[in-house]
Amino acid sequence: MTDTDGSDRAAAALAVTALFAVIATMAFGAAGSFPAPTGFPADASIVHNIGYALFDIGLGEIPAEGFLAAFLIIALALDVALDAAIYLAKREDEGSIVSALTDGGREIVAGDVAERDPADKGGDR
Amino acid sequence: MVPPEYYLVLSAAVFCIGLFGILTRRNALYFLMSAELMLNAAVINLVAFSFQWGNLTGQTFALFVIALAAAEVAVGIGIVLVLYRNFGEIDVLSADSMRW
Amino acid sequence: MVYETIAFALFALLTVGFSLGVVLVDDVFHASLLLGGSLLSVAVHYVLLQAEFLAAMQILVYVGGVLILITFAVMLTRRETDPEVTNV
Repeated sequence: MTDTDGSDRAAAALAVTALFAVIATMAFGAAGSFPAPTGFPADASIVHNIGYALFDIGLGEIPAEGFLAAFLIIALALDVALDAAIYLAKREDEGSIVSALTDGGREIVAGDVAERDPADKGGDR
Repeated sequence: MVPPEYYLVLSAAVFCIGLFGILTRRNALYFLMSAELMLNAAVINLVAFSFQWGNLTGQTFALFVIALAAAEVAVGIGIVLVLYRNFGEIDVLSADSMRW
Repeated sequence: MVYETIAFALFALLTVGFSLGVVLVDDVFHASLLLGGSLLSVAVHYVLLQAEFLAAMQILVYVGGVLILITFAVMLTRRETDPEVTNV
């Protein structure tokens, strides 16, 4: 089952193909303007350098201190996401923050799922 | 090595596929998966040019993007489950009480 | 050089094919499995670009975390009474 009807789907496919054509033309227009890839030293391990930076041992030849800030911020972002997921999943008697997602803003009663006729929508697709 | 413009084209292809998924689906789970595809396309570019210039900054940003995608999916799954609990379906058009 | 190009072309085809499957397949569980294949082939691209750490992170975080979460949501929002879902 498609979610949009055929003409909308064809229009979306056309627009996306046009966007891809534009980007590919630009990319191949830039072909040859890049120098040979620098790459990383063959015997250098990024994981080793991150470990050295973590314990402040000045051994690594690749500067990896930037990764440490990334680790901290990632930890914070994942904590916030976990809290938000738990907060969304919590059900309160006097209505929670997700009450606005119900049909017309009515209150959520415990054990209640919307009485909307399932035949008038496209199922769970 | 493979020239970076090939990676640009690959990333553009994956990004456009994700955009097509978002434009044509109404299921919230397809939205999440298509957003993952588009984020992956961006990360391919970051890693390819990190290799091109021998600079680790691109990989650092790629790590950021991966973690943010994980956080986004965690919250997105919560929203999908709330949608399913309140409507019995996960159509993105059904939650329209704040729609103008 | 030529082997690298061949490897790139092979895994680029895999990536694009799996991604097309994600947006074109109608069963949402099959779509999530195809998304896993797409993420794994992107991890192979990272290995080709000497970013082994990022490849490991990609597999750990995406395939081990994100994909499991999406599969959870697919299972939790699937209705047993829906005939067009149970017939798939």
